[in-house]
Amino acid sequence: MNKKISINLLPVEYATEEIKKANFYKIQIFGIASVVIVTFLASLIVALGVLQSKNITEVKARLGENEEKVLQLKDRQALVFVIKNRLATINQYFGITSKQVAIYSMLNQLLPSGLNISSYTIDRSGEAVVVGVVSDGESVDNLIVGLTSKSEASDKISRVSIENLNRGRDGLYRISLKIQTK
Amino acid sequence: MKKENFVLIYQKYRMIIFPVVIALSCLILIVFVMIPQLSKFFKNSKEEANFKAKSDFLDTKVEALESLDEKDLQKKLKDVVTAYPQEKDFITLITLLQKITSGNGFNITSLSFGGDGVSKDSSYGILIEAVGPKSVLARLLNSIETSSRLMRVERIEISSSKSGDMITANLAISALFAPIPGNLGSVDSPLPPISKGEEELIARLAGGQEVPLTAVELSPTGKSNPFE
Repeated sequence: MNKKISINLLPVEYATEEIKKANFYKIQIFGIASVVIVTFLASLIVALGVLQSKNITEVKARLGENEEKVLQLKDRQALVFVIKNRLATINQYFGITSKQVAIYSMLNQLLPSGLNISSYTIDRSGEAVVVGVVSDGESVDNLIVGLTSKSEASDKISRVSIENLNRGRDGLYRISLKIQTK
Repeated sequence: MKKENFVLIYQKYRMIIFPVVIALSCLILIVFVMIPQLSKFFKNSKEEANFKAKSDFLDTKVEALESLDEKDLQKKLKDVVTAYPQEKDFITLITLLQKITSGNGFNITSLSFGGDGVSKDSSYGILIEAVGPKSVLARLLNSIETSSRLMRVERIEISSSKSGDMITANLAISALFAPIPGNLGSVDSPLPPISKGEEELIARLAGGQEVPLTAVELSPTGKSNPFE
């Protein structure tokens, strides 16, 4: 059996110095690598910034061109704005029957043909006053029933009150009705 | 002497001095170069995105504006301004009301301007007294409210004659008008689209009763020279 015997004859100080040198070498490599990496990253960021500034300048130039084009077309824009502005109000009213006209149409349907209307007023609030003549008491009943019980009337009429009712010597009933709408 | 001292000190403490110098260098680069540049980069990125978005928006707006026919817009404007004028249009309104009433078998016996209009909008009141058949009053009222000029019937007063179908109708009408708005959109403001429904509405307005301003001939009244 051959046995190898290794004996370190170098002085301990020399060995320690060598280990220190090796460690310092590692630190140097690591340190330089760190500086190089950080410098590279910093350069990369600066380069990106420069590139970005160039892009921003281009985008700004394009934006300026587009703004200029819009300004050249401002007359068309103004036309569109005025048309839209007008249409907003026109839409609210055009083709939409006012309350007064709707009430007139409704009462025209509800009032019986037997009622001979002498005057008819529908004011701004939608309150209607109808003054008319009917030939008999039954017609008066029919008139009130028609205004208060029909489904189309109950949807729109909130109150019907007889303001005046009298019977003349001619046997005709003169009636004044106040109709309040919802 | 001093240099030798420095070398000696460095040789003695190089394991500490070198890493410290490296760390300081890196720190300086990070603090004074990388962080400000990165912060500027992110700030500029946002700014660039904003500029790009604005530019794209304006691009779309330019395309939309260029696709519009100016003559067609002028015609539409004329139609909507006729329906809803920018100022009190007494002559047009008188002509239109005469046309509507006579078209429905009514005759205007009196016409005056006054009264309140629709409270929430700019409007002026017109009071007309017209005589005609009762059977077509509903049609007359409908014609007024669906005419090419925005009008609302505010008050209806009818008195019947004892004989026949003839009635006297006193109508309070509001004619709406409004000045052109001062703000007609800035460069950045989005272009409001004219919808299909609005196109149809304009077409309905255009197809309504047209009242040329020349329809009423203004004849001078009184002496030509008041000092004669």
